[in-house]
Amino acid sequence: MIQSVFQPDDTPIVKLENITKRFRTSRGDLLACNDITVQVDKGISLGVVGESGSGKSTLIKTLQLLERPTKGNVWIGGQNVTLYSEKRLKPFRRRIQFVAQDPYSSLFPNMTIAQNISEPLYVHGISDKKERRDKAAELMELVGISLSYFHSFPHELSGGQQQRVAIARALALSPEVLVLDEAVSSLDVSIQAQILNLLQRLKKDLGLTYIFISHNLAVIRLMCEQLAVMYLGRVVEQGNSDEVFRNPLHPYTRSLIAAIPAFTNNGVTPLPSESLLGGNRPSATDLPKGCAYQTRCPFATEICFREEPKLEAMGNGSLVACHNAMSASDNA
Amino acid sequence: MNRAMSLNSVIGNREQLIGARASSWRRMWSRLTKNRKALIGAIMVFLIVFLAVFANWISPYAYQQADFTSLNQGPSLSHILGTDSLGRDLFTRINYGLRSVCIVGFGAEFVELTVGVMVGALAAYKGGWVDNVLMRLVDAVASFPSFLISMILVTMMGRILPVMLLAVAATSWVGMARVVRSQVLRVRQTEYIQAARSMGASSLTIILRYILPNAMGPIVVAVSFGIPANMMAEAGLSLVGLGINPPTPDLGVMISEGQQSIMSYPWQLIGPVGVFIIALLGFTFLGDGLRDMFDTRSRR
Repeated sequence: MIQSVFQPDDTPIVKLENITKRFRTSRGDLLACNDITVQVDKGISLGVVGESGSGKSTLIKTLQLLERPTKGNVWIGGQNVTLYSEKRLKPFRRRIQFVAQDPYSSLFPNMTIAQNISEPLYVHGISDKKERRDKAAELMELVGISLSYFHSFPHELSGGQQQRVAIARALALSPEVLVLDEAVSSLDVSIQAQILNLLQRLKKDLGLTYIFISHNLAVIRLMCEQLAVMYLGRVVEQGNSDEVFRNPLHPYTRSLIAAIPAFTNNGVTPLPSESLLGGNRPSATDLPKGCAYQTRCPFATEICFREEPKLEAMGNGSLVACHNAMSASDNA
Repeated sequence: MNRAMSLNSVIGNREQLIGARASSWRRMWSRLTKNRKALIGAIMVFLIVFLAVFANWISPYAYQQADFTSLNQGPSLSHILGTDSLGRDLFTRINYGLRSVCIVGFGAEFVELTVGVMVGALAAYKGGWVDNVLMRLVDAVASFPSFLISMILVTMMGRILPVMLLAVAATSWVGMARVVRSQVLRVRQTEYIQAARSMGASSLTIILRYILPNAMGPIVVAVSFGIPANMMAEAGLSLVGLGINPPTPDLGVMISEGQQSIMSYPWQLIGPVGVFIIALLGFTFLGDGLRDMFDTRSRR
C-alpha cells in the first residue's frame, strides 16, 4: 500500500509491511503499532524518532521477531519470515543484530568480555574455541577496547566500554543491519561522541546499515539517510532525513525539530511557543477519532477530528500523514 | 617476509595483552580464601562431613559396643570424649550421629532443591494460571506448622532415616520454590536474555547457558542455609523423642540424654552439642561467604 520513498534496485534487507501490534491490557486494547510500513535498503540507514510510548520499541521487537505482529509481515532478504519457527528463523537472525540501550544489562554477567563477544558464534555453532577467541580479540581491536580487558567481566568496565563490547558482540556474526535502540542515550555526552564516531567508522568500513532508534534528532541526522517520525503508534512523517530536517511538513515533526536547543552566534535559539508544544497526549488505549495528533496540533481543522490522515507523498518526496501538511507549513 | 614478521609480532603482542586467564575454579578459590569467615565455615563443614563419611575408619569402637566396666567415664586417652551410661564411646557415637544428621541435612536439602527447582521454575516459566495454582499451593504448604507436620509424619510412618528425611523436607521445599521462582523471573526478563533470543539461541541454550548460571547465586546460598536448618529440625524431632530408633546413634537423642545428666556427667552433653554447633556454624558461615561471593556488584 505505502511504498518507501526509496525505490530499491534489489530486494530490501528488511521490510516491515503493514505492521500492526495490539496488546490487550486491563484498560482496553493498546495499539502500539498501527499499520506501519518501513523498509531498509542496503546502505540507507533508517532513523526512527518519537517520544516514549510512540511504539518505537514495539516496532523493533517486532523486527527482531521477539514479538510477532498482530497483523502484517516481516520480510528479511526478500523472504516473509513473520510466522517462521525459531529454528527456521535462526539464519535470518544473523543478518540483523541488535544493540540495546543499557549495555550493562544486555551483556551476560557471568561471562568475560571475550566470551560475551564471541557468544553469537557459539550460538550459531560457527567456529571452534580457538577461532572464537581470535575473533573476539579481532573485534575488540575493531571497536577499540584494550585487549587487557579480554578476561574482565562486564561490571568491571565503564558504560562507554560496555557499549563497545555490546557493539562488538553484535558485529560478531557479520550482520548486514545493526539495530541500535537508544544506543547512546544512557552515556555521558563526551562518551556519546566517541561511540557515534565509532559507529560512523564502522558504517563506512564494514558497509553496515543502521536502524537507529532515538529521541535525539541530531544523532539521527548524523547517522541516518532516512527518517521515520512516529507518534502514538503511527508513522506521521517519513522521508530522506536531510529533507525532513530542512523542510518538516508534519506539525509534530516541526515541533520536535523546533524543540532542539541549538547554539547560534550569540546565544541559544529560542524555544518554540507554547502553542506548538502544548496540549495533552491522548492515552494510547483511548485514541480519539480522527488524527491522533489533534489534541496538540495548532493547525487542526474540522476534518482532523473526523478522519484519520493517511501517509501521502508530498512534493518534496516525504510521506506525511496530515490533512493540513501543506497549509501548516505555509503558516509557519 | 617482513610482513609475516610484523604479523607475528602483532599476534605475539596480542597474546601478551590478553594475558593468562585464571581458571574459574582458581578465581572461586581465591575469592573464597580472601573471605575469612567463609574459609572458616568451609573448614568446619569439611571437618564435619569428613567425620560423618569416614565414621567407620575414624571411630575407635563400634557404636553399639557397650562396655559395662567403664560407664559414664570422663574424657580420657581411651575415650577422648568420654562414655555414656552404657559405656559406649561418645566420640564414636558422635561420628555416627553426624552421619545421620548429615544424611538428613543433605538428603532433605536435595529433596527440597529438586522439588523447589521444578515447582519454582515451572511457575516462573509458564506464568499465568500455572504460576497461580503452584504458588497458592506453596502458600498453603508454607502456612502449615512445619514442625507439627514433621512430627505427625514421623509418628505415622516410623522413626527411620528415610522418613525423617522426608518429614523434614515435606514443608521446607516451599522456601526453595519461592527463591527459584523469583530468580528465574528476575533473570528471564533481563535484557541479556532478550539479547540471547535475538541472537537466535534456542530455549534450551537460554535456560542452561544464561538463566541457570545467573540464577545460581541465591539458590546456592539458600541451599547452604537450608542444610543447617534441616539438621536443626532433625535434632528437634530427636529432642522430643521422635528421633531415629536406638541403637542407631543420633545427635539429637544424644543431646537430650546428655541434658538429663548434665549435673553429674557434663561431657555427655558438651561433646554432642559442641559438634552440633560446629556443624551449624560452619554451614551458616559458608552460606554468608557464598552470598558475598555471588554478589556480582562487589565481585572483584
